[in-house]
Amino acid sequence: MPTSPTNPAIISRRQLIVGSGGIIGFATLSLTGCSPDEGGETESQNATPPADRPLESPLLTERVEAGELPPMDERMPIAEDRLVVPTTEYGTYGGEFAGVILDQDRGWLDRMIHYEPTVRATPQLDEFGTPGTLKSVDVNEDATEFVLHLRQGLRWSDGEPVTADDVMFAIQDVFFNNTLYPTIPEFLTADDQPCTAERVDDFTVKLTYTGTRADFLVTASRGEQPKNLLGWPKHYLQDFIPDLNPEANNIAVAAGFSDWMDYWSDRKNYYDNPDLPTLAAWSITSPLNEGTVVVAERNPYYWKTDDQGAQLPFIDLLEFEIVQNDEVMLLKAVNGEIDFHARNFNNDPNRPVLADARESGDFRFVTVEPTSMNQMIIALNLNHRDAAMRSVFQNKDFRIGLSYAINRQDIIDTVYQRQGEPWQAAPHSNSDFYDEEYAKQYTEFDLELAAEHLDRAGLTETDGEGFRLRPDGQRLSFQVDVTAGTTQHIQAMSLVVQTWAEVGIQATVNTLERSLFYDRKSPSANQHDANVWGGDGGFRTEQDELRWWFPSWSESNYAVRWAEWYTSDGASPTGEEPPAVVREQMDLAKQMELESDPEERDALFRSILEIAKDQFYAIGTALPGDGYAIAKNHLRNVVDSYPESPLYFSPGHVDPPSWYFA
Amino acid sequence: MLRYILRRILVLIPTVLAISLITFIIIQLPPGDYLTTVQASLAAAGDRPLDAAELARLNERYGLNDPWYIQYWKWISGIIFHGDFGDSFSYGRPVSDLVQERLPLTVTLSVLTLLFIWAISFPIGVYSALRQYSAGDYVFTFVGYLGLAVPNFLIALVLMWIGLTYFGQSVGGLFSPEYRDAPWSLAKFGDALAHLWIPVVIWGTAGTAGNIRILRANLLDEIRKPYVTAARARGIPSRRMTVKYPVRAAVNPFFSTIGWILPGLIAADAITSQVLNLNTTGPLLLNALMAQDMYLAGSVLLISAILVVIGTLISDLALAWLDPRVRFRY
Repeated sequence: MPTSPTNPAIISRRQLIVGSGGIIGFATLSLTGCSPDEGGETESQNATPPADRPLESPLLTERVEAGELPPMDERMPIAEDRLVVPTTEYGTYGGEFAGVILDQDRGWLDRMIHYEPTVRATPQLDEFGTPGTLKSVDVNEDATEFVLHLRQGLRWSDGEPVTADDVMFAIQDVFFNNTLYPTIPEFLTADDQPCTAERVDDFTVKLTYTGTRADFLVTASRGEQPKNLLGWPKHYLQDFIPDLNPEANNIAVAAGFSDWMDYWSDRKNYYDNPDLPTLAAWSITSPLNEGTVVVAERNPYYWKTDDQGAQLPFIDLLEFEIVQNDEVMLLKAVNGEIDFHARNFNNDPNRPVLADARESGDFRFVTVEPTSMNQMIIALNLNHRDAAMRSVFQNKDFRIGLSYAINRQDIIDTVYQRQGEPWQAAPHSNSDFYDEEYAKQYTEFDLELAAEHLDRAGLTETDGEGFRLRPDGQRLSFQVDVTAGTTQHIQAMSLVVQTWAEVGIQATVNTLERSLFYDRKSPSANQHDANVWGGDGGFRTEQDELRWWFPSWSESNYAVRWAEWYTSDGASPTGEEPPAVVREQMDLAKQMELESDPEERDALFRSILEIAKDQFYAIGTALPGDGYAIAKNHLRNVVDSYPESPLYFSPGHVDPPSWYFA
Repeated sequence: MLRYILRRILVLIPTVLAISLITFIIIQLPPGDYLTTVQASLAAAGDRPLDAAELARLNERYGLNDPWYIQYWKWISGIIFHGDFGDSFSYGRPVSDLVQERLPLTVTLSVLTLLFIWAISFPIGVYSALRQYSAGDYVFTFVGYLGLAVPNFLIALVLMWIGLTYFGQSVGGLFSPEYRDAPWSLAKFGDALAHLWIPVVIWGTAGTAGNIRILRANLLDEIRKPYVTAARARGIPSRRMTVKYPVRAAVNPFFSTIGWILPGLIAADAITSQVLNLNTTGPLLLNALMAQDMYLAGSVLLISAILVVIGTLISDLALAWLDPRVRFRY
């Protein structure tokens, strides 16, 4: 894993994505690649397809025979335009999936059902831009023109055909509608100019950008809706937009909404509106905002098959019970009532409880590789509102001193169940950009070295209680904001301030409600002295999540005002112009966006990391160990291990439609 | 009497308005708003926060940039002039629909709990007072203190754990999975009854214990009064005498708590409901407060405040009907 020869994030710009043909070869390979899972069930079942296996769900066959549905060949795209998903076992149809959702947490639905982007990320997130709802995308030499090829015969879940009109609708009537989107989604622009879309024929659309859009395929592989050009069924949604239907406002008012915008916001949400046609494997029949259970039923028009041509999904129905409390979820999991889950309660403290219950609850663990590179990063506010504090925090020796004064192994042993190792805010050890020196710098626990660096930072004087004084003679004292509810952060930070006190630094842990935490660190407020957060973006998503490499957006907690300056191009009144070396990183990042050659992009990114390593903006603690999901033993075709990323709606990219019940 | 009722009703109006203003201000007091809460919870779940443009768009749509008094006016004028409690941000549906959806279960549970409390506490209270310091009194006193002292949600958790480990029962909820979303039928009703007693007992423990103590204390006061001795002296049979005089006087607290049913209908025990995974209005309110979903939280609180006020009025009237001493004061 650590030495992957190609850059995972970028595929060649000239690479023509071929739909099913290319994938079948891959599928036969992966058949032999079935490895044992943790639950103890080692032998693969159904490695050869049962002779009499039907190619569509018997439930659908019944409906076809009753005349309620067209036959399978008329429901699915033409044979060569179906997407073939390689599976380790040949699934059988049937079964109801039992899941849970915490209150109105639609994120879990997104991840389980709604990862159907135009082009996809592979299960291990090592390749992006592989065929999704689109059959293929042709990219020109400069990455300015993109020809999108649709699947012929593809249908929405209500049976209406999907055509180029749907893509044109998404771009021109939705994203370019300045009432719905006052600013055009960034994805559809280059150099701040909107792209132009041209309908070539029924199944082809050409996008032309005024500048390079090198990241098109990677960005399009993400789960969020603005990136999904095939998430907007025109025949259904056009009725709600006044430009296309003069009656739109009246319809909205008749339905009890104040205006068409409100009604539109309601109608476009798949989780709250069962009428919305979809391309997902299951369509919602009982919505999230009503009742106590979300139900999603099989989409008879789904366009994926396994390599023997059996239509996916295998599971008839998904049920998610809406639970109010994560302890109740945990009890249900222990009792074996949940078929699959990787959220809410799947954390380190609950691992022993669940591990114990694996046999009685008849479930197994699936490894979830964190894309995060740190359990907890301490960000001192380099843009501190007080000039004296700012100059102390901006002194690199001060930060190095603090870093040496952290007993990381002790924290790992007591707080993180001995998982992980001491780590700075540096790429994950599995990452292509892993740099041992960067990851390990200043991570030893050495109070003498710490004191030396703090002295060098000019904090030589101490007061009667042994605490160090600032250059202006006041005692140096600051608060570290921690969000309430992140118990492990609170525990770990409490240990950190104890060892800091031993070198004369007075810091206190300030536990805050989440939204107050966010309020204090906004660029306009800038009230925080320091705070802690996890290390997002350490593996597979290094170039997508730049927050810890340089002040790139509002989540760069160590310098939110510099980040504001960067994101607003210097226009925001709450932004502050950063020093030259930081601006150099920002320039490199802008070049990266325009660079279409993957090798060059990586080189630029490495230069950003070099500077980040030298700047040492924030203090890391520990590299996280692997996480876990739980899966019932009779749920098959689930990979043994997958990387977790919110950008790609994990576990959506491991293809839940290919799961089945043995 | 009529004048008394009228005066009470007139006082209600400014009271309720004042309550609405105070609740709204209190809901607005914590820093941040619904959208910052959404941002924070997205980040905490490991999901991508909303980008700045989307945030600005939603701020505009929800009117979160307006000063609080404009937001308050929008909300309260909608209620006064259109009977419209506004929409919940997180559910994207009208508050009234959300409350209505949860009302039948909440009402059923509240009424059953009240009946349960009365049915248990009345006989025990009378027994404890008449047989003061007997072994039975000690046992009931002990159990009563226990019921008062142990928080409901803890009893709920313990019962759930016992149900899970010893009976393999599905955790939480009011229906077995097969009936959960089925239309109401006799079978579903039976299934509900089989689950219903758990929350009723849990909700009822504290109330039962409290009522036992109150009734016991009141009755003890009464039976020592001269009129009881006088009645005894006249040879009225002991049982009939007790029920007709001292018990009747001691039963006041039962009637003064009638008023509590009404607000209980709305603000059902939130934490217990949440632990037991009951779809009552309690968790709705709790989650709305945590998410700063202000119209939902504000409206639920306002409705329950109105019910408290009305309930108190009804209690007073019931008490006046029951107890001539109260009645003749007006």
